Amino acid sequence: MTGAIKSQSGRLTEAEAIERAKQGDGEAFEVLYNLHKRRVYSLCLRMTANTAQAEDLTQEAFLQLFRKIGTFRGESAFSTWLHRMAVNVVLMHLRKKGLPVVPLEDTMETDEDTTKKEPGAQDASLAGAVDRLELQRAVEALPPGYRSIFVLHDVEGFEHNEIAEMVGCSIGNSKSQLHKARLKLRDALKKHRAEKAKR
Amino acid sequence: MNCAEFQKALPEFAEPQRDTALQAHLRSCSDCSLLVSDLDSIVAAAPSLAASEDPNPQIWLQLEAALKNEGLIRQPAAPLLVPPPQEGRGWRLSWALPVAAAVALIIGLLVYRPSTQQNLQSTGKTAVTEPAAAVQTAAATNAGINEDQDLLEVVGTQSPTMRAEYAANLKDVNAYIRDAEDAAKANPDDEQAQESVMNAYEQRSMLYEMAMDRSLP
Repeated sequence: MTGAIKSQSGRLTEAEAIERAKQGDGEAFEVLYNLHKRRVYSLCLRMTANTAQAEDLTQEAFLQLFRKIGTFRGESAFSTWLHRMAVNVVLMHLRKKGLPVVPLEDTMETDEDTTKKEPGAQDASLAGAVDRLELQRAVEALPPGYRSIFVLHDVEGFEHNEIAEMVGCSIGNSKSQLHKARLKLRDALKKHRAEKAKR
Repeated sequence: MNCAEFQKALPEFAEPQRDTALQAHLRSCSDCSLLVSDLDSIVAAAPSLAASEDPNPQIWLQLEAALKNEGLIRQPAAPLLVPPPQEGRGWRLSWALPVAAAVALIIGLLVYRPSTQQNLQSTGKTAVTEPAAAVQTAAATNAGINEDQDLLEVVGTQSPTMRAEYAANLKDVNAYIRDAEDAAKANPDDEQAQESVMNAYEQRSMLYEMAMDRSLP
């Protein structure tokens, strides 16, 4: 993400806001918050599927960031730094709550269970684009571990090696769990569409 | 390669269509081809969930308070006091903005009652209600633009930087309202979509409250 543009709008650039925030300038903190709040809050909301928790975690992520802003040297993009910090805050929260940040391997379900068809079932396709609202609902209904992997990879764009490092699993595990998460979403979306068609 | 082997290998490939062995199976198997096509649709839609939600404006107020408590904000933000009013202007703004915010919220609630619209439509009153709703929506939009300009004018007299911030915030929240309304129109029976519309208007109202908190002495 690029910084704010200071020109006709009179807004501070991101770099200027960072330097002023290091001096304790309240407006600069607010500028930085406004630049990144949507992305951080959306991440927290997708990972937790809970508005109140997402709000608390958004506040916590920014607070941690602003506490450390004096150490930011600009070698990496500010948004990358913040984003990584937000992910860590959420993962820490999930761990504290005892929720798995990576799907449990030892579930009753296997790959075959997830993909096999019921006898006589139609192999209906999603047939084209997936609506944001229906995908959002399906993601919220995913078990927490699958949700984390899916959000980190497919929504937020982290690579498998980054996810493996953040959640503490192997790259292979990250890949296979992402695949299972997508299969679960496919099933949920198909089910939702079938129910909608019945109405 | 059979379907079981294909599906076992699938997680390893970001783009199975590019692998020769998988490609050959895909060409001959409609089930696996459908599966890959569905997964592609999900992957394509996933980025739309990023940065798609605006947080409650109260979060910034709480964060700001925490930053002040910890001494991270060392100098007060630019003093945002209402300037000496021109004749008749100060009193007007002091009550007009909160009222405007409340009106915006009420208009939002009145315009956005899809279940009522649906009931009326089912009783054959579509031709009457739709233009009425369109007029209401247009009126609400125009009223919203004027209110936003008033708010920005007040904030701008205190701090040009904050004016730009509030302009960006209003743009975001108005876009959020539009998105939420579109989603609710597309899914009139969806309670979550209706709730999003309410939240969007509530956020707009809170933005006004925050601006007033800053502006009042």
